[in-house]
Amino acid sequence: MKKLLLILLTLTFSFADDISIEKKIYETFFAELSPREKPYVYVDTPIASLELKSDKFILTDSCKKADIAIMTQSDLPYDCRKKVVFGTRYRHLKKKYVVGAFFWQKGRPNIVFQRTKLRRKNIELSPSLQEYAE
Amino acid sequence: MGGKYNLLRKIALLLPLLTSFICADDIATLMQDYVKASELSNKTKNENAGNLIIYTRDDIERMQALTLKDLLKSLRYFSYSESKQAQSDLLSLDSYSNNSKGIRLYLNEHELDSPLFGSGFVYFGDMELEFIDHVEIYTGFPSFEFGIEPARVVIRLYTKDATHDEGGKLKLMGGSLNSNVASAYFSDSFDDFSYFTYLGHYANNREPYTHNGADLGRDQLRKRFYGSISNDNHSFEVHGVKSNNDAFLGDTPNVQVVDNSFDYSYLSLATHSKFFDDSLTFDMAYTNIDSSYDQQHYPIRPDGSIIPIVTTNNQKIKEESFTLGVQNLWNFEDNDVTLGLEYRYKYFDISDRKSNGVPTGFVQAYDTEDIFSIYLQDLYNITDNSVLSLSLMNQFYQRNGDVNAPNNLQLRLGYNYYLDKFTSKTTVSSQSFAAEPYTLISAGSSNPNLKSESYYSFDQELTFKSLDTINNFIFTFAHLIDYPIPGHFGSGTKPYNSPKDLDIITASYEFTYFYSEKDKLEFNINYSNSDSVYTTDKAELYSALLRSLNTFGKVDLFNELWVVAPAFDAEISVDYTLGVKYRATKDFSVELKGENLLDKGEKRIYTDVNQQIETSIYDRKLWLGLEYLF
Repeated sequence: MKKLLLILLTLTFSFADDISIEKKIYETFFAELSPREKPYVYVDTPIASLELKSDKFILTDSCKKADIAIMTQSDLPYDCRKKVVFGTRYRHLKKKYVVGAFFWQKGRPNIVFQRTKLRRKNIELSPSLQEYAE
Repeated sequence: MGGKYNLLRKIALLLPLLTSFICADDIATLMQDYVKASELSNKTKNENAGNLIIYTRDDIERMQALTLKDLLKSLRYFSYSESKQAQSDLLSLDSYSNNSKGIRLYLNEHELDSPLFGSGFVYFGDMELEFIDHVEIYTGFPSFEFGIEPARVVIRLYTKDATHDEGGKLKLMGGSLNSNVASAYFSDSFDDFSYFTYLGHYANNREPYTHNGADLGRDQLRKRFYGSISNDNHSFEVHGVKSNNDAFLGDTPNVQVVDNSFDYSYLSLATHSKFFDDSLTFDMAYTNIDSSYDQQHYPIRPDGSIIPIVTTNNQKIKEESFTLGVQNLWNFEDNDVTLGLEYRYKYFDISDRKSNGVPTGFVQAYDTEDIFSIYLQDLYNITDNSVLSLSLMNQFYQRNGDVNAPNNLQLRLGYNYYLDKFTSKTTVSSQSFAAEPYTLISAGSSNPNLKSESYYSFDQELTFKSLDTINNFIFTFAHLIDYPIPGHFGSGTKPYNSPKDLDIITASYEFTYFYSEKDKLEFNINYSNSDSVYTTDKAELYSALLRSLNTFGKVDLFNELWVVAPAFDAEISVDYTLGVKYRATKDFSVELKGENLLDKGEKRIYTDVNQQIETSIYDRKLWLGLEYLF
């Protein structure tokens, strides 16, 4: 029975497409990065997974209003940098204002949170994400 | 029984809740599923285009597939083979002819073509896979949407995606017979573009065939470069190869070869552009191949005795092609209509042939060819789970000489029916394959009047899926008209179209059992029955595959048993391959692979006028490798 349950769970996940799963992963980050139940999220260029409807965040096109800013380009406008900024490339982690990143590298997806930068924003990661913190 | 049923029902009802609960908490599981769902093959595969086999990146890595040959070895109905010059040839009828023109290979969106041989399979059939992400193989007379001419088998190779593979990889391998392989790739992406570069050295030394004191080698030595630069809508690719192969038994019948070699250099430049939400695509490709062949041999008299004077043959071959393609997709309510137009210019020159340094004075029948191709397809969605596809294609050949230049009409009608656990694909088609230039102009064995070969085919695939198994049945019937028979059999030196029609029946049963996330077992059994072009006998071939892919912690294990019972009572071959890969860290791994460990792998009989030589297509070989990601 345990085996059957495992297979059912595996299959349920395997039916989901990459964009839906990516959205769930971002939702997990947003829950960590903002105390709000439904934070406002700004993205500098559209990301397909964040265009999907969600009851866990609200997409905004104004950095002023945003709690979290997702960075896809090399730089962000100055007023966005004050927000909790999360990157989508490894190189984004080198920016002082980027607290973490979710990116593809070496053929696999990676999650990195940077403790010192999170502390500056008074963010404490939950135990399930501690293994991704450096 | 009832209690168990109720429990299952409750689990089924609770499943969405349970999964979302687990999803929310377990980021590691989400990441694992994300990797699987992000496989590039999910984005590129085309289920409506034929009987599809996919080797994902994970399959290729765990199988330690070094070249395409490792994947094609166990291809249903067909079996990877090599010509007398030790070059790839999947459909060859005998060791002289090169009949793989119906096999079409594509690297991303452009064809790896050979203007002279009709298909690039001869050069790319055992291409290295280190820079390849995944491979899709479409059998059963696939859809016309892939290229300028029809195909019996379409092999699509997709390179690694620069945006997913930021960083680099270095791989070093050493193998039996002083074989060695070294390759590296590096890629990066920026705000507006990304690039990928690959450099590979491949030296696969093979057992030579020793004949009357001469070692006739078939070592494969290649250097390859591939580079691409792309943004969201456009890509530009450069692909170059420099190769040196010992040419095994040579290209001339009725001689005793002392030494020979074959070199080629290949360059292609290709662009691919997408517009209007990818509905309009535009492709351009340029290919240039320079090859040369050198052979030293003793001629043999008709009575079998050797003329003791060494003759030297040299030949230089030039090939060039330029391809333009445009395709547009219109989505109407229930119809997806695609119109494609393609043009290819080909140039080939085989006239530079010398015997003992003296030009032979050979004049080839023609040297340029233009192909104009138009393709129209309507995918009609009859219901939510059934699709009818109607495809028409026509090629117009213009050849600048007194040779056969056909206009070939291709038709394909498909009906696919999809349910959650069941899929049915039915296809009928009528296809004609124009004779490739080489058979029209070759100095030794050509016929400028050779007609196109035509196939009328019926194909049925049934797939049944359960929670952890896939059962797949495929049946194909093909009626073949005007099959080109190589010249040195039966009719002097010229090839000719078979005066009798041929029937080919193939059937396959494929079973896959997923017994956990990273463990799967595959079992296939294949049968083919075809009329022989030479005799009244039927050629019956059986083959079976047992393959297991397992992961235990940091160790990947690969086991493969491939058994072939060839036609006409030839010896049964048993090819066993074992691979072990230890992933010491995320970025460093060590691998060991033993190929054809029982040394009873597939053999091929190479027939000459005065001799029959039987030798293996696969050597018994051990490989040890290291790979490092940075």
